[in-house]
Amino acid sequence: MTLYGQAIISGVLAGGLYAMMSLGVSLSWGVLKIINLAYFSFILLAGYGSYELATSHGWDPFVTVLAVVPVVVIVGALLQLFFEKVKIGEFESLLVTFGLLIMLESVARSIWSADFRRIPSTANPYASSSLKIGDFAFPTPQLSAFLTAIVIGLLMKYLLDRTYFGKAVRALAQDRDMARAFGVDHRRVAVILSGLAAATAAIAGVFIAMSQALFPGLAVEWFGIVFPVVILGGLGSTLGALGAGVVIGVAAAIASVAWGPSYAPLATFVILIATLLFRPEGLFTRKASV
Amino acid sequence: MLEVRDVAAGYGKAQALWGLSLTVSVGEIVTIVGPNGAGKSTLVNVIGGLQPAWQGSIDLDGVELTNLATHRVCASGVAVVPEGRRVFPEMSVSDNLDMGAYHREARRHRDETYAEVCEIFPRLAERAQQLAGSLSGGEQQMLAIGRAMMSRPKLLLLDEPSLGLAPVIVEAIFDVIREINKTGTSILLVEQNVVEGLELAHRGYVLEEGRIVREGPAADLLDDKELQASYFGM
Ligand SMILES: Nc1ncnc2c1ncn2[C@@H]1O[C@H](COP(=O)(O)OP(=O)(O)O)[C@@H](O)[C@H]1O
Ligand SMILES: [Mg+2]
Repeated sequence: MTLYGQAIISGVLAGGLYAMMSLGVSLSWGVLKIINLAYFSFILLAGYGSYELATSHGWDPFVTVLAVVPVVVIVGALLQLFFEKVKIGEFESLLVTFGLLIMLESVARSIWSADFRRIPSTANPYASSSLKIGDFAFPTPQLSAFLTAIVIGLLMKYLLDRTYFGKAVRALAQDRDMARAFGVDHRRVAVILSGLAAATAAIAGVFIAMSQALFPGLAVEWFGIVFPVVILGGLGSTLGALGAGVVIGVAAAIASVAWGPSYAPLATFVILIATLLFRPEGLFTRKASV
Repeated sequence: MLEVRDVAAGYGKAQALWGLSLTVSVGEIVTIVGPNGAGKSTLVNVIGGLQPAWQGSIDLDGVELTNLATHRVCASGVAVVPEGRRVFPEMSVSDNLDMGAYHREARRHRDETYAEVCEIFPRLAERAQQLAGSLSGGEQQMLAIGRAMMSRPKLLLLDEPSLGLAPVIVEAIFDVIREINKTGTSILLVEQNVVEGLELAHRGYVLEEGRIVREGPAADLLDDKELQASYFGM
């Protein structure tokens, strides 16, 4: 029983990380109608950036956020500015950003090779530390990722529900031309939103570097987590992504305990397919959109 | 106040407006009537900045609106109530109204305008927290008008506000348009509901196949035998 209890804890904690990994794709797809696979590269490169700063420059892994986030935010905003310039469509965006993903993956391979890279434990005291409650362990990186995800989710929720910026974002998602007719500058909102999404992706990357080994192929492996979370959570829905992250995390964790780790992707895809069949608008939204 | 000069517009290669000119003066209600496909919506969209003009100019109180970026038109004093209402269906009524007050000047007066809109449409105030998509057609039309009013326009463009609504509701909507006009807002109304549309107006234009074929005081157009025969089915 402890085994399953621990699996559920790990799954829930992983869910927060999954949500942060998925937020960029979800907002970009749901609001801006761009399927931006570059977020996978942002996560990966943020992870490597954090690894590099911690390993070669002795930064505390948490502190690397301060350097990694601004860089990724700028890149994310510039990329969106480019999309606005060329007025990219939904389908082209998938092709273009897939190309970008492959390109950035080979950049990562040429800099850090295809080998596993992990911040050495001397530079990363958090990897082996955890909060213990009874028989259960809450590893520090996963626990802090989860708490960060909750904070980001609530902030985004507040931003989207309460501020003019958030209302503009939702209005753009529902009827772009009408939103513009009432004064919403699509380009400005898109660039700011992309910057926020990129920041979240970068934070996810830092937590990943803190808790596991990095290799260039990870970016593509994450498809199997992020797309189920995005679909399950509902396009453009922040709290939906959080809920979906937890569902996927727990399902994957239980499947690996019950049948072995190789069954985790199967569990997430079964959930994805079931969602597409029975609730294509997502588990956590009334209808597709914000 | 509004001067549209020699405007052409269309979709791809299909031209929908052919060198069209019209004016709306301060405080006026101008109604444009014409059959389905005449180009009425295209005209509204071009003036409202939702669609570019191929040629010609659109001028509001000396400000050139022609091919201004869509998001800048509203702050210049034009608000659109589009065909089919196009409220934001998954936003609450009050968020929809807030979107009307999005541009800076309107935002500054948001509370004041909100109170005015709620006075004209008590129904909207009652349903402030409901999703716009769950409203009835008439209520959505009121919301679309209320949203446009929130931007405090000098000129209100209305594209077939009576479409698909029961006669009583149409009457109520037309009363509201009259009331909004009395507070000094100029109105450009597009209608297929020819008689009611013209009865409301000071002046009218008849649009056919993208060209203005008749214009004049609304009363004259209503009396015109030829128009009566072709449009009013009398
Ligand atoms: N999105 C569009 N794409 C192509 N043609 C269009 C489009 N919208 C309207 N049209 C054409 O433009 C002409 C004018 O249409 P419209 O302005 O909608 O007329 P009305 O509002 O008077 O019914 C019609 O011939 C119509 O078929
Ligand atoms: Mg029309």
